[in-house]
This record gives sequence, C-alpha cells and structure tokens, in this order.
Amino acid sequence: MKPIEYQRLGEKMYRERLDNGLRICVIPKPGFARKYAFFAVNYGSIDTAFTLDGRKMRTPDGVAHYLEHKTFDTERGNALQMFAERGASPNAFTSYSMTAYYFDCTERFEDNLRLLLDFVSTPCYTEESVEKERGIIEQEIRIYEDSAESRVYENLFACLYSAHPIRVPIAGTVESIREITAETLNECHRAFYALPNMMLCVVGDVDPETVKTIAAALPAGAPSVGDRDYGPAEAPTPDRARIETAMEIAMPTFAVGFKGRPAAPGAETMRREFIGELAAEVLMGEASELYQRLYERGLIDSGFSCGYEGLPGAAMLTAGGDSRDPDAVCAAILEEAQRICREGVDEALFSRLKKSGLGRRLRDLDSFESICYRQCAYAFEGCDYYSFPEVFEAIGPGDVLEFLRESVRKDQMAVSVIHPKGETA
Amino acid sequence: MNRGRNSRFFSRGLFIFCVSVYNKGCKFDICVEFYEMTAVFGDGKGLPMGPRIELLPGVCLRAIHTDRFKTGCMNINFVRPLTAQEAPMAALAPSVLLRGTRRHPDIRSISAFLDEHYGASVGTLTRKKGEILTTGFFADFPEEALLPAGEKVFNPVVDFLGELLFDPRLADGSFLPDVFEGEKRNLLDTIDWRLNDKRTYSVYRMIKNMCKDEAYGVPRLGERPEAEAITRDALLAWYRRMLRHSRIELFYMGARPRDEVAEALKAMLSPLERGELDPVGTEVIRSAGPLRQVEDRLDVLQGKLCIGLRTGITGDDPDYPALMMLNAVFGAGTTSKLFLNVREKLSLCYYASSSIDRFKGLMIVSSGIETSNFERTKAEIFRQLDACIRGDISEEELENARRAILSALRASLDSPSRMDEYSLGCALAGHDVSIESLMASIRAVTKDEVCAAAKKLSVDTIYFLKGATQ
Repeated sequence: MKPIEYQRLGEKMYRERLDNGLRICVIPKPGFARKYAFFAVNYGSIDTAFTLDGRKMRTPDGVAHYLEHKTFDTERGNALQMFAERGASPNAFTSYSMTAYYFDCTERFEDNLRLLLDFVSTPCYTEESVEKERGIIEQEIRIYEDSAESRVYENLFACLYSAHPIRVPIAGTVESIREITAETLNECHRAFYALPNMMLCVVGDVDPETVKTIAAALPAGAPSVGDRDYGPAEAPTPDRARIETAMEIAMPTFAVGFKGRPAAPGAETMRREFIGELAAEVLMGEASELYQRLYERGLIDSGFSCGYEGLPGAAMLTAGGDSRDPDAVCAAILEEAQRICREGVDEALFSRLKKSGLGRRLRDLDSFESICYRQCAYAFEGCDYYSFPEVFEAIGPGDVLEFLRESVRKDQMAVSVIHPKGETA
Repeated sequence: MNRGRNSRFFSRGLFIFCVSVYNKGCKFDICVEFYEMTAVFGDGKGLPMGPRIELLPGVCLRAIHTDRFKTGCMNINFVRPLTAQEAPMAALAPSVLLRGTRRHPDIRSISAFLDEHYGASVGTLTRKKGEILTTGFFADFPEEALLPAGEKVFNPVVDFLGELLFDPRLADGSFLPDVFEGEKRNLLDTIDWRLNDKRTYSVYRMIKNMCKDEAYGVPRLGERPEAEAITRDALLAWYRRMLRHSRIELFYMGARPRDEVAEALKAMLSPLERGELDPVGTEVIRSAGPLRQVEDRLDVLQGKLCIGLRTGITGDDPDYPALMMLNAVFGAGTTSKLFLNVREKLSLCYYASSSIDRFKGLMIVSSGIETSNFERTKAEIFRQLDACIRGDISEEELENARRAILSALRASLDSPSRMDEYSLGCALAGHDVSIESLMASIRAVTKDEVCAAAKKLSVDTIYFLKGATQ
C-alpha cells in the first residue's frame, strides 16, 4: 500500500478497498504504545426498515443496539473475555447511524485484530442467550429513561419529525425489545454486517501491510441490504411545536431544534455540517453577543451548547441546557437570527471562528477514537475526512447567512422542556 | 466552567447520542478512577515524564516534553485542605475570575482572544484528592508547528493565565456585583444539579453518610449553606490569602523544552507573594465501625445500590498494588467477578463495578438495578466479595486483572490527562514511584496477597436509592 501524505495535518494514511469488499484505513502513529482498531458497520438505530433479498423488512426498534450486545457472543464464549486474555480492552457502541466495535491494546495487536474481525463477522445467537440479555438491556434503557439529558433530546427529535426513525431512542424501549428474537438478529446481521457495508480503521504504531493481510483473510461478503427506508418525505415544519414533561431533576432543562433541509449524500454532507456548526456559533456560540447577553441575564449557564446534527434524511440546528426560562432563551435565539439575517454576519467574529474551528479540528487528530470514528462516519457518507481543512476554509459568511435564513425560523422550531417534579415522599 | 470550548461544537453531531455495550464507570463527583493508579513516579531518573522542579518556594512544575501531540496543555493547581467552608470558595473563585480581566473584561472578549489563538481553551479546574482540594485553571492549545508560520499561541496563553490570576476585573476594590452574584447562582445550581445524574447522586449520598464526621464527606464543590453564605468581600479576601499561603502544582505537556516552559511560568507568577504554606493531608480510617444502612426514595425507574468499604490500604502502603489487583478481580472491568456474575450471569444490571480511592482508603461498589432486586443484588455482591476473601480466585481471573492494569499503565504514557492525574497524585502523596516500578510491583502480586487485601476490607455503609417498584 502507498501512503497518502497530508502535510498540513502532519499525518500519513494508508487506504484501500480490499478484494473482499472491506474498506480499510491505517494511520501510523510512531512512538505511541497504544494501538487502536475500530470496526464499523454502516448500520444504526434508524435502519429499521429496509429491503433484504427483494423482501421488505420492518424490524423492532432498538434491534441494532441489541445486535451489538449479542455480537460479543462466540462459540468459544464471550469476546469481551477473550480480549481480556489478550490484554486488550474492547467496547462497542450504537448510534443513530453506526454500530462500531473497537479495542485498545499495548500488546498482541495482531491476535486482537484477528479476534475483532472474526467475532464481528461471525453471528452466534441462541434463543437462550438472546433472552438472557434482555434484562441487561432493560436496565440500560432505564438509565437513559432516568436521564434528563437523554430524554430532553429524544423528546425533541420526536417533536421535530413525524415519521423519520430518529423519533425513537437508539436502544428502543423496554416494550419494543421484547419482540427481538435470535431470528431477527440473524436477519439483521446478514443484511448489514457484510464487508462492503463495513470499514476497518487502525491507529497506532502498526505496520499497514500486516493490517491489510489480516483483513484480506476475511471471506468476501456480498452486499446484502437493499434500499433503506426512513419513512415518507418530511414536511419542512415539525410534527408538533412543543413537548413538556417532568422528572426528578433540580432545575428545568430544555432543548430547542430547527428542522432543516437534509444534505445530499456525498461531499455535500461535510460542507453542510461545517456550515451548520459555524451558523450555530455565529448565532449563539460562546463568542456571540447573544451568548453573553443570555449568560449575564442568568438565562443560560456554561452547560449551554449548540450545534448541527445531520443524518440520512434528517438535519437540524439544536441548542440546549438548563434554564429557569427556556422560552425566553428560544425567543431570544429567534430574534437574534432575524437580526443577523437583516444586518449580515459580523465579519470579524466570522474570521475568528474560522481560525478557531480549524485549530480545534486539527487537535481532534490527537484522539485515536475521534480519528477512527470520523474516518468511518464520513466514508459512509461518501466524503473524505482528511479533506476537512479545504472544505472548512472554503466556507464564507454568505453560506452561513443563507443557512440561518433557511433554517432558523419560527415555523421550523420545536421545543422540549423537562421540569423538576414536585417534592416526593 | 470553560471558555473557548463549547461542549458540542466538534462532537460531530449525533456521536454524543450513542450507547455502549458496557459502561466503564462514570465520572463521580469524587476522585475515584477505573484503575486508580496515581501511585507514581520515581526520583526522576530516566523517566519519560521527568522530574518535578521547584520554580519558587512551594511552587513546583512537572513539564513533560513531547512532540507526539497536536495539542499542548498545562494547568495550575492551588493545594488546599478540604473543608466545608473552603470547598465552595475554591469552586467559585476561578469561575468569577474567568468572567473577566482588566484587559479582557467580559466573556466575549475572552472568547475572541481564544478564537484568535486557533481555538485555545481555558477552564476552571477543581479536584478532590482524598481530603485535599485543588483549584485553579487548565489551558490547552494547538501546537505552533501546525499553524501558519509566525503564529504564537503558547506565550499569549501563559500571559492570559497570569491575567486571570493576578489582574481580575474589579470595581471599587471588589469583584463586580453582577458577576459575583451570577457565578454564585451558577455554583448553587451546579450543587443542586447533583440530583440529575442518579448514579453520581447515589455515590454522593453514600459518601455523605459514610464520612459524615470526616472532611471526606464534603463534596468537591461543597454544599449549599456554605456556598450561600459567601460574600463578595469574603471571596476576594479568601482568594488573596490563598494565593499567598497555598502550595502550587503546575503541569505542562507539549513540544516546548522544559526550561523554556519553566521560565515562562516563573515570569507569569512573578506577582505572586509567598507566605507560610497551609498544611494539607488526609485522615485515613482503616476499618469500619458498626454497619450503616441508608435508604432514599425518588420517583425514578431504576434503583441505585451503592456500598462503601474501608480498604485499610492507601497508595502509601506496600500492599497497594495488591489492592489494585483485588479491585480489578472483584469489580473493575469486563473480567471482574461483579461484571461476570451480577451482570452477565444473573442479568440483574447494566453496570456493577467497584473503584478505589487511594488517598482515603475507600472502595465504592455501585450498581443500577430494578428496585425489587435489591436483596438479590446485594447478596450476590457480597457472595463475590466473599469469594475474594476465601481465595476463590482462578488463575485466569488473576492474570486478566494483571494484564488489564499493566496495559492501562503502559497506555497512560500516551494520554496527557492520565499523565496529569498521575503527576498530581504523586505530588500530593509526597513521593514519586516510577510507572516502571509500579508495573514491576503489579507483576509480582500473588493470589495470596490479593486475598490478604480482601481480608482487610470492611463494609461501612450500604446505601440504596429506591425507585418506583414496577
């Protein structure tokens, strides 16, 4: 393999699509003891409806996450334990659009890499083991249900979208996971865990050729999943404008979202994301006039955050945090957006944000986890992660203005609030 | 609080909304770590992190030179005794200071300064280590080699830290009333916010009961009544006294040569006046008295069980490596008895884990369960503890634990935040043990020693946060 040199980033990368269909990417980090391998599946919680062998499938909510848990089962026992025997610490996660398995180690890297590739590609579910996991996942779901931070955003997504599966929490519900059987998991594994739908990314002081040889030994997979269905086209306006609920928390917490136009697949997704992030910063980031005003009036605290979220078929600008008066914050955001749309973007602020945005993105390259996640996530969307400096630099104030005009509008806004419950016995 | 780093700005959107196959232990409001390994570095000979150097009386710097990262980082820690009065002061002072200096009078001008310096960030940093509190600031910033030629970041950020410490924005010789009141309200909110995260809350409530007569019972940010009582003048007076009478620990990791860093930080600290230093330390209670049982009730879906034990062993004791091994065998990580039995075998929970505090000599076991499963889970946890005491530990369990700790120690050299924790821990313990020698101790721990460490454990408090019964 020949490396691609990124002089601006001070990075080198080896990348290839192997004959068996798997994409691999190796980023050498000489002098580090840690070696990190990340095996990603282009399959997340939103992929519940799809075509398999020409057949339309509709699977229970939470199945991608359930599958992630059960993938650790192998014929020789639980893969978590097998990694431990090899001195590695493994883990996995499921997001709305990705499932990923990874490990960290300082020794026996090749053994661990073989194990990672092997256990993820070999399904091994029995009705009994699937049943046994239900109690564990139920308790995991209870944690999210008791967490106001998760709930406030899950409620917001359910308000903004009428049909898109982002409406449903990643892990599903205690009720929805009751429908999951070994058969469901087998079908979903076959549909999505096919090498052309996956990617391996390795970071550390490793030999790229060795990684390639190990990955190339996996048997070729045929692409299995057909079309993915995220529901009928969404209206530009939210399903409902507001949701309120109460939990055992100390002060009200809120999230506000503005439903936007989803980016076209390909290079545009990265550009759109950067524009959205910059728009959020210009409007209500820490360096903005609005942030200072809200902070000084005690309407937000340093936990306030804002950003852009994009998924296949969904896009939004969101902001949230704790506040005594969430409605005042939302009104101020709308009003400030209107002012900027009238008067234009503050050029000095914009150019500082460009500098800081670039500096922070460069620093992301210190994190092995972040590099792997982004390499895979962008690749699944059809863009090249390491092209970010050029894409970011090409964005101008006009792009941000257009985004604000198009997205931050009252009729596209939804608000989710969680109030503290009254004193309990 | 932290400036110049909006928590979600670069999280790549929905990545924050993802769920993992198991939880590696959360950030408690107390300093317990997954593998508490802040035992630490030697006399400085031949170590990658180098020695601590005394810059000024009672002011020490550990500067680790490395060009492997794109980010440089540093922090300054004022070392205080943990008391109910001081904790909220120590939390509030840096937040007030970070609202403005004479040159950068408000949030916007501070943010503008940080953005201008390619997204450098500066934040408040308050830590609890046993019964010692540290307070101060951290800064991290891109290494200049990555930036367009001639761009400077390190010196401006050091100068800015100096401004924060010695040149705050004052009016009539005191903090600005609005700023003070705003930050005080934020501190009170943060104290109340403990309730929001039920796992953290259960650990907090357990320690509150277990250590109610010890300084350790004071949480990192203090409690509401003492925080409410703080006045503007009292805070400034406390701050000025603290500058003079606190030991100071500085940390740097990045591409600058050590003497350049030392020189820059020494110049930054030139306004500092030194007085007699306030002593700090941790009282260790080696075994538990009569068992305490405490129960709270909240309207939540999941109950939280939290058990506090006295270990009788601190980081200063020769059997500390055996305690680290015991913790890994019993409750830390995916090969531990708690994970394999309470979670995998009985499906009672998503997490059941133990952690240790090396300063105070505590072990904390924590699990989230169905309220109706309280007795069953408690019994299983004690059954597993009993197995450790009886020496019912397989060769495989022992070796898995050893491998996990050794790997974590080796990997810590690649992590600036680990190195920082490590370095501070060793500075506070007052003596250095090299990572290599700690690794050698871990390699030498036998099953009998693990078992002996288990026999020293005594259960102090069993806490249960009861949820709704389904």
